[in-house]
Amino acid sequence: MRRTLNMLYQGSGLLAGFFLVWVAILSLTQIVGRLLGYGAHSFDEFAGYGMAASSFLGLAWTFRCNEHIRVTLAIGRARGGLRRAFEVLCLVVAAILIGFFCWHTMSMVWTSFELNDVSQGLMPVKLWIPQSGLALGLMVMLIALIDDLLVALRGGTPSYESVGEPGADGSAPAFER
Amino acid sequence: MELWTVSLVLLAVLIAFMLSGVWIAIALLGVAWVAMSAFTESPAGPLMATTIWGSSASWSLTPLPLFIWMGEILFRTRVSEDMFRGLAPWVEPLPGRLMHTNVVGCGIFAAISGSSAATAATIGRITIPELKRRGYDEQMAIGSLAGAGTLGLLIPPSIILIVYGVAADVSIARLFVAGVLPGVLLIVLFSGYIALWALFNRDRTPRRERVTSLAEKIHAARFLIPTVLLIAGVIGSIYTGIATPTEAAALGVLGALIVSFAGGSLSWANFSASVMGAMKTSCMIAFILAGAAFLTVAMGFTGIPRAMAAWIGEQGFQAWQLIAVLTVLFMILGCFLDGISMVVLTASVVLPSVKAAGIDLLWFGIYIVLVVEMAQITPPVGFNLFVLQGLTGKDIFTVAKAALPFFVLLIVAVLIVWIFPEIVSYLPGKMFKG
Repeated sequence: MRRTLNMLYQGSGLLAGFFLVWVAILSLTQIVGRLLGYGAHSFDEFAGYGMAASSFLGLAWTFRCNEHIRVTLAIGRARGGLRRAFEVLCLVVAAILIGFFCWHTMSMVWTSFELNDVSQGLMPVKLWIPQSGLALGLMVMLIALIDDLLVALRGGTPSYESVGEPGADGSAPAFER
Repeated sequence: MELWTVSLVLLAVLIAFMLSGVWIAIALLGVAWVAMSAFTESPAGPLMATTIWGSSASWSLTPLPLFIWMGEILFRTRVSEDMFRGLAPWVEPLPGRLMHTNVVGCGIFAAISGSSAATAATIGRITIPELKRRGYDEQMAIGSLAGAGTLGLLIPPSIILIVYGVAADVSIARLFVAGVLPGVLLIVLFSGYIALWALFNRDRTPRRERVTSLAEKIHAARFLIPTVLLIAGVIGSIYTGIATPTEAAALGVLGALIVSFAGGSLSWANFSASVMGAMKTSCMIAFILAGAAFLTVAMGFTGIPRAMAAWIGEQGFQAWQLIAVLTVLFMILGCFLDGISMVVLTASVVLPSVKAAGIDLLWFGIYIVLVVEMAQITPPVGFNLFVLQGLTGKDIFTVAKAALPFFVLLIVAVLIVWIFPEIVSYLPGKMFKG
């Protein structure tokens, strides 16, 4: 079970990384295309879809690597049982909001699918396809939140807590937090 | 319910969400959801999904992951190791000598990483021990590093300017170009202060080690020069209108890969680590921007930003009064919040008021970055202070005291930019209109 879940998070994260490279390749192709005299404007649109897919598919893996920022002013000072209560509260609130968001995103994808919505670019794309990236990413994120909530309820340390503060040692050019 | 009661309730909800430690992006979603469901008739859920889809699948966001990726690749080359050795012969003739490696090194690294904490950490890890060993004043070394580290926020390609551009709907290309001169101004202020200090404290600056020829200088900087040229090329291509910010960023990634390959540091492990590192940082920021996009729409539905702007218009506030109030507000916010959250919250709530007061949004973008820079070196929650605390082993108040003159210089910079707004607007005005 643990292994399957970890594979889910990491696989989704790798897919997000793939889409990031895809955005770069598309943008480079666009430059080359323009130099050769092709003005293909659909590239913008496809790069935008890649961006959305990368951002949302990466949510869960980023979360487990403790890269999503939070205000630790209060929670960082709490110890023992109080700390755990804080973590559980945060995870419950986050799971409810992400669950709500995920549900409505899925219903948006379903509507696009039923109405057969297409994009307005030169090359029409069925909108439910790129939109699914959002819904999938949110689903994996919801699973990751519930996963850590169960861990915290059983008295364990949530995944993101065992990583430590990223960037504090300057090990990677992480953004300010 | 009166609009001001609604505002107070929402402010309380925001503070509660933030302080509880809920991840910031999710907290923004939460506040927006409360605002929509409690104070408007519109359905929150469908609007949440469509707004966030619209803002996330956006071409204007694409420079963000690419510039972060470029930085991640360059970060894994020899650039940071060679920074001190490469710069030392160039700055040694100046009064203050090797102390300037902090400022110039941070200036160059800032262009690579776009993060002030990573800038201070990477440069400081090498310069602090080197300066100490040579007998430089420790307090000055720490202070100049803390101050110069914040250059990472302003010098393009700046991640926080992309965030502002997306949130406030201002051209990222113009913001980048607008940031160049204020960045130079800061470098001049910081280096000028070091030089003046050195002239008045001659006994506390070690002598010059040796005179180097130009050829030696170039040889020492041989690993730095390609990176500096790459950054200049990226900014230049945006300025001349040859490339959009996304294309410039993609070229930057390609160039970084070539620099890394030529320097022998491009391996599969390094490559995949750079992709995954960039993905995580960009995902974190994009998630906050997604939350902020929904918050902006939700706030629009409540009518608070519009009412606030109208009120400010009626009171006949001068622009400088608004800026003075905002500066104090940001200083306080900066004690609790990081730079990106401050920028997106401003964009969701305060921007209509800023427009109503007749302030140029391009100028405001540069201003807000300068203020966020100040917040980085103010206790109790200045992230640069934490980094320097870790590097030097001094307590946070010693570090903050050392950084104080540079904090004052940042205020001076804001004043200069206020009095001479041309520093911001000159280059964008000259830009190629694409």
